[in-house]
Amino acid sequence: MKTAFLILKSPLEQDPTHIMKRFASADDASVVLVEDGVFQALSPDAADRLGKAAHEILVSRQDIEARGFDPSKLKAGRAVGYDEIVDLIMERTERTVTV
Amino acid sequence: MAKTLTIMWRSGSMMAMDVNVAVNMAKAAKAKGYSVKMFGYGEGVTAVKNGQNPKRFPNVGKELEQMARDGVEIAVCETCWAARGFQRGEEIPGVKIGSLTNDLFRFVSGSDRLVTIAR
Repeated sequence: MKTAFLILKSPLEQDPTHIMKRFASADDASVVLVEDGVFQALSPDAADRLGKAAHEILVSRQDIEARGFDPSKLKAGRAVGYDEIVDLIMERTERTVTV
Repeated sequence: MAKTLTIMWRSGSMMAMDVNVAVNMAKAAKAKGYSVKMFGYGEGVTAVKNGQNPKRFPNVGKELEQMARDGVEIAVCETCWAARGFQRGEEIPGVKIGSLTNDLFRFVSGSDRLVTIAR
């Protein structure tokens, strides 16, 4: 089942990929990073893990910039607005799992 | 008929930015033409307390009040509300002090997607 994983925590708090792998294969997994979850795409090791566990990673641009980072520094995924996050949740996946 | 998104949040208004994420997501969904419902549970009920006055960060209570005015159905758990010593009438206008069984289940059963924002 195509699944959107919503991640709010930094890699210092949590490695979300263990749980993600139990719910969906990488082909069916998309990731949405908000709040401190954006650090998952800014930290090289965490970004590498996430890139192997999901085929798509959307990172809230607003939450990257709120933390003083430049979206061009992402190690995985791409910076998007909430409109694209909603599109992923409502149209391109079948369920949302908060990790 | 427009698809419906239900957003449930469990974090308090002063805990993190979780409620702001819920509001941002709800606004974006509403702008794209989706129907949106929101439910606050646990510490999340504090986000609908009327009269919030944060000095240095966004007033999420005001944002939820505006969302209710814009047609977003918002309810919170009555048991959680009472457990924190809040009375009926202390909630922001347009929000229902409701219940899991009557409101959250109704929201979910009529929704195409459920997003839980919690830590």
